[in-house]
Amino acid sequence: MAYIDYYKILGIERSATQDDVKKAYKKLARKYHPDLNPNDPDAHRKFQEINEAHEVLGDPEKRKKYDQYGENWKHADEFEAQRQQYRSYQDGQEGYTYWTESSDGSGFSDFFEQLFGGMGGKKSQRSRYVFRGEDYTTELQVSLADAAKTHKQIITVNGRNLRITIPAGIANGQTIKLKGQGGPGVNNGPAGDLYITFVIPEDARFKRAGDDLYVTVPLDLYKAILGGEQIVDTLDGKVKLQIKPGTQNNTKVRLKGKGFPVYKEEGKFGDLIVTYSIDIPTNLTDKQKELFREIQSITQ
Amino acid sequence: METDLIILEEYCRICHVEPSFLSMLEKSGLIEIDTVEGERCLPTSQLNDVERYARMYYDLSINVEGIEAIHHLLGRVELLQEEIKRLKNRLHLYESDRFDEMDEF
Repeated sequence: MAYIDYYKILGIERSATQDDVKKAYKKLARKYHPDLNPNDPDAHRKFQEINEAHEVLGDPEKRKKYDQYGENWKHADEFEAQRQQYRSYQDGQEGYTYWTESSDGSGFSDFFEQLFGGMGGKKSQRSRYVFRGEDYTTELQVSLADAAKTHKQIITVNGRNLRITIPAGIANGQTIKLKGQGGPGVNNGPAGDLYITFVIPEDARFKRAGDDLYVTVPLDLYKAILGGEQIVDTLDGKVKLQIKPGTQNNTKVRLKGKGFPVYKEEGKFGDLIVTYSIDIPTNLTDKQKELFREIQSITQ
Repeated sequence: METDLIILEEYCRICHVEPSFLSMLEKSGLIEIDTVEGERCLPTSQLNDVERYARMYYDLSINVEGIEAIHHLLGRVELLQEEIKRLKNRLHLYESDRFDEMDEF
């Protein structure tokens, strides 16, 4: 366990007055306080150091003990051996400093706990109350094709990677809650929740309305007039459709159960509505034009 | 929709916060205080914010104008962090990494 130079942490001389300590603490706290540095673990850690330094140097009694024994803190152990809460340091982790994680940035190092008997430091009366942690919100982009199937995806929240299972049928703008995955609580309060809002960008082929999908299929003029077969894309593959002779432009065909899966209702699907868009041929050859004129004259 | 409320006077007494501080926060638009049957009340949904502002005011000696400026800047920081998260999540589509399992919601 390494010796911690609290004076160095606060950037002050050993001869600094109590007022200097307070000023230095406030200045650094304003820079590194977790409230002013959300989602920044480095600032959080730095603030813990500053807080601990202030806890010691800002208290004349502790400062005296620190000044007396700080550099050779093991001697302080001997001095304090009779203390009821004394616990000997025997883990042999020389060279390491351990900080107790605390949501409000007030965790204390093993060095501090050893020197001051695990008091945990004095807290202001105002901050003793328990509060639930902050709720986090995030957005997750999912393609329409991915949203149509139950799948796993990794998201990073506050430096932590979570693999979530996204059920098939999730909607654009839908928000789900992961309980307890938000910010840590204050003074051992419960953690907040994580809210994930799904963003499903427009798909180039399919339009979605609820659980129904819409697709526009270009149909050549000859097939529309004479009938035939047409291959149509669906979310789970291609289907072959029979085209009736004389099919009109914008004719709609409903394919039952070929739409989007219904959220959390396994085996249930919306419909796929196919709209035929008939392509009128352009750049006809002279021969083709002649044939069309012939059809026209016969028809008239 | 129902909102849980805490009587302002009670909150101030328990949490050692001056009512004038909450009034300043209200005037600056940082919090909203409801009045129910003549009693000034604080929605519980704002407790986290009030606690954060109180830490800035009492522990860091930042005045309410400063808190207001910080509130706006943190809003921008949050948006930028969200954007980074969103981009990182998109990157995950192409990269594999270590992760925690989280299947339930």
